[in-house]
Amino acid sequence: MIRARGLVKVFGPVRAVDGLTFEVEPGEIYGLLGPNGAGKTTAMRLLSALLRPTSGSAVVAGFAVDAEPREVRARIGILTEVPGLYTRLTPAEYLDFFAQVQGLRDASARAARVEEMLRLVGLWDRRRSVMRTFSKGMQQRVAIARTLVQDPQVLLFDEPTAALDPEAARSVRDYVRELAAHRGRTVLLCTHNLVEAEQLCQRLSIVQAGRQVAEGTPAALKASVATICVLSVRASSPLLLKRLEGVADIQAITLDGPGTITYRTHVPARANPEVVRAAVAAGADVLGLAEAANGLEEFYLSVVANSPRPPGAAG
Amino acid sequence: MRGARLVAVRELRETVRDPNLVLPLVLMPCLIGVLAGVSTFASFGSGPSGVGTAVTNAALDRLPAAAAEHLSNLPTTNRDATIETLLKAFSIPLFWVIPVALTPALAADSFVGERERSSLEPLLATPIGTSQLLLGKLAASVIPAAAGTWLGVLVFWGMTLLSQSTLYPRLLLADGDWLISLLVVAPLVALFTASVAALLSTRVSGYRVAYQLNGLIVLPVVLLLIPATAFLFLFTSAALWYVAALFAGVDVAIVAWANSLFDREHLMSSR
Repeated sequence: MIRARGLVKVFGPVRAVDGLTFEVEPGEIYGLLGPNGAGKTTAMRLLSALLRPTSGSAVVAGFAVDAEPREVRARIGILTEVPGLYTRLTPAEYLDFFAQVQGLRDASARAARVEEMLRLVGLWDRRRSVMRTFSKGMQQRVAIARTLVQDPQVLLFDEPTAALDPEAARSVRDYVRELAAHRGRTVLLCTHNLVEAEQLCQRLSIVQAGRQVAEGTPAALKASVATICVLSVRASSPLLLKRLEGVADIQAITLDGPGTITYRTHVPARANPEVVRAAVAAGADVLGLAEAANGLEEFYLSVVANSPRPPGAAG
Repeated sequence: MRGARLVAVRELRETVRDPNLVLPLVLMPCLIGVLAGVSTFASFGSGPSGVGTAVTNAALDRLPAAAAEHLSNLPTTNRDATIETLLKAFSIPLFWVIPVALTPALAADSFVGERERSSLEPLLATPIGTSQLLLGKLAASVIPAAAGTWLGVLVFWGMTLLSQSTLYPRLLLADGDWLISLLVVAPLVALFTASVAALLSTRVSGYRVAYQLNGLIVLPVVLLLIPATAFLFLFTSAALWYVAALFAGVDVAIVAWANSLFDREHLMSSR
């Protein structure tokens, strides 16, 4: 598990991480979402005991990152933003090296694990090729295999599927899901990919300028943002717009076409019948009323847009 | 030491697969070996009648007897033996240039290059100790540089055999001084350069800057060749041990200093 309490990291004048607090239970996939420079990568480095917190605390797999960093590192697998491979090695040599560094001493067990990982990421047939010749996506797959090679209790993923083709991305997502659901692994996922976050994460935090600006399940976060509704009429008129502006509980009314009006509401069940009544009263022929899919993206953008983003924030 | 061995083996494996590193490792020692051999061939190759022999004899003839008495490493009676001592004193330190010249590229690639390629972070996120990491990287820089030195000396030995000069031992590598130089001094010189590179790596961000700064080490070490040669020729055959002790002391100090700076936070932050 991961437990972060008021985690702070300061680099000179920059507070890269500013009071991050969250918990991730075994078997859970937790997402850290945020724009570039929000502090996600710094948070990962703190949790992997690569950096020491300026203040606050974090416990990973039962060990404090500042007091027992070696124990933490022995129990985590981290996928960094850039694959960072030794490209003059073959993937088999590379994974074998990391397996040994992580403490897997038995050569036959190591060989079996390397084979399992290379088959997982679809590179078993290329196990003897030097990685310099690999595409970006193939290198990312090797990096994923490296993260998993010692079967860590806690997995820290920074954009795991960013460079993968859709098929490979899906297989990685499925594997991550399987690791958490069936093998009880704790997964922290840093991503810009909101669809992926929504698909994989049970809970997530949105960070901006090092601060946590929202936390919850994807469903709860989505529910807290206004639903976008689209009203279709045969022909709109200034009178119709004026009438709609008078309807309670709706905001941001815009005319998006000759007969298309969009608005936002937190209470569609109450507001939408009122909208239809107002449109009919204004003499409009109502063709339809639909609620747009209320995605995590809407919530994310609304939160990030409303949060301050000081210059020089860390990554 | 297991971690250090793993890191060193991995780095050496990468080094031998990189033509940009292998070519200088082979060409530079061969060049120095050939040049040293050719000059010796030209000056001393024909034995007592060679130009070098004649000049040396003339210089020794003019040496005041009182001064010669205090120069303990000069054979007093046998002039050929004196010239042999002189040749050895000139030749041995010449090959210390090889580890000094080869190590900067290897060390800059190992320490700063790895950070530039972003491959350091995954390694630092493993349980390996930073001291082990440092030792492994130092070994990965020192071993090829030392091997390059041996290659250069082998080429030189081949040239001396080819010249058929009587002023060189037939089995150059059976000579104690050559062995001390190759097995003790040259690796210590390489370690000096590599450990300075490790120190610099905690301060500089780019491979090119690190390489340039490492290159500056060549000058003071080359300057050391002059007193080392004189010491070896004139005063004592134990001069090599003094040189070795000097480098060993400096190496221990620099490696300890680098080790104190070589922590994860520092390595992750110094960009």
